[in-house]
Amino acid sequence: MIDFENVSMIYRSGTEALHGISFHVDPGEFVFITGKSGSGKSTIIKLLMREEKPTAGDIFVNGYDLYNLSRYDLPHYRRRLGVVFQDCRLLMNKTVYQNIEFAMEVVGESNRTIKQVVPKLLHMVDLVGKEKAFPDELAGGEQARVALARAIANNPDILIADEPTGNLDPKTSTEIIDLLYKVNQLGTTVLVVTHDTKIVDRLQQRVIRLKAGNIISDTEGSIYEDETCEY
Amino acid sequence: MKPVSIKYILVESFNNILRNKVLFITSIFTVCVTILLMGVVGILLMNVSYNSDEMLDEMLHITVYVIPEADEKTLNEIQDVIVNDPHVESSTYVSKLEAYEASKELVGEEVMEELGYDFLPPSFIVKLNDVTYANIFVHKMSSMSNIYEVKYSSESYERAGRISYTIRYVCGALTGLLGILSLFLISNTIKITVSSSKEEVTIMRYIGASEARIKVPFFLQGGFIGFLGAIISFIIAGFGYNYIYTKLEGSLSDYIGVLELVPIPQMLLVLLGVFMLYGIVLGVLGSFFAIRKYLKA
Repeated sequence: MIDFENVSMIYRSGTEALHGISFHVDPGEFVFITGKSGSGKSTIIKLLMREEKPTAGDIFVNGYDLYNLSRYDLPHYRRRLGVVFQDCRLLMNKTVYQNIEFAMEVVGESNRTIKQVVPKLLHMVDLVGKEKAFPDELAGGEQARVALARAIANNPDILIADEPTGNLDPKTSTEIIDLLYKVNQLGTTVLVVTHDTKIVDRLQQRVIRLKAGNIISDTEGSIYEDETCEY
Repeated sequence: MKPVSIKYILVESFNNILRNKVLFITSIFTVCVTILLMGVVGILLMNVSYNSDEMLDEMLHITVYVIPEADEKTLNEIQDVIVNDPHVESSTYVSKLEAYEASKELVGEEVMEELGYDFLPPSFIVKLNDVTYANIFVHKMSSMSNIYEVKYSSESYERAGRISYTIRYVCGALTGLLGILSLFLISNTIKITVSSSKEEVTIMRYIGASEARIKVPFFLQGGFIGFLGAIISFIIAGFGYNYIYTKLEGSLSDYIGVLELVPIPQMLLVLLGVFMLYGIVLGVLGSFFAIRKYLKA
């Protein structure tokens, strides 16, 4: 599903973000990518989103060679990804319903499908009754849930969550992680980039740890507490 | 493109407009003013063209005078040469007697009665179908035997032509300049719309919207600005021209000689077509420049 093969990334500014890292993620896996600031977590997301091309190495996702991905194929590739951003990036001039509907409209889903899917998603993320609310009328956790619903609206193969609990209290963080796990249980591969030790400990899934652009450990079901890492 | 996509694009275009109402109205206003200015230039241009064509048409008449002694056979031969020339549109024979009658009106009946009509040369009034052929035709007729004189107002024709072309070039240049100004204004409007939709566009790209789906609403918006600007300026220009035409009763002859105004239906038809085309092309082009610069993939 996801293959990073000796991927290095050096930005134009000269910053070396990744140093020949390799990892493989199977379909249906739940993977945490952790590391402190500057470890290369965000670069992995940018590469997966194909916002950037690696300086060296190959990335294969869902059968797409990301380095050689054409401009025509890029939207098709991205339609198979769902992304939850740390700041949620909701459209403030659209209601909860419209934010989710928007994600489906722009990829050409029919009105009929939208009308069937959006209520189900709202139910799944426990936002029934908030359809007509605007993002600035919602609490942080609710905004994160809208962002999650939007990310999975097009039934992606891979869900990427970038610090999804970054600005949330512990209780809400747990709810969001549980939702991500629920999505994973439905068959979607989930990649969560985080430095929140509690959520990593809670789920005990595979954890890829980064430090200064290198993978320092890649363990299944690991507990996050590790004296060799500083966060 | 699926019908649902078309609906989405139209709705998005409309939303873009609603989101930037003030800017949208300002753009329409500026486009309208620009097209209107261009329209004024265009109306002038059309009237100049219309009248210069009329004037040139008049000047295209060449009078071939035959010697007074010419017999019927000679006249027939000359007429054959004229009629068989492919550049001659029409020709009218003016006999000695007809020339005499015309001269009576000019110099007085008494004088002409004393002089008689025998000394007057018969003539052919020739109209050409090609202006550029005039000099060749004059030379050809002058070199024939039995020709008394060939009269052709070449100087006034050339002067009128020069004036007409100068006005056309000046008006054309002005129209071009105003076009560039409109392009800049529309492009700026779309640029601001693009800026205010930046977050939405970013999200669309992350979600996997195609470039066409992202960009077409902006093109439509530009085209719509141009279209509305064109419609409004057409209405203003149409009413204005109608008012002036009615007031002057279709002619400026009371003020500057023989100047006739282009009839209203003919003018309105041209204005509608040109304004629409100009407005929409400007709108779409303006959008294109803004999108190319500010909406890079």
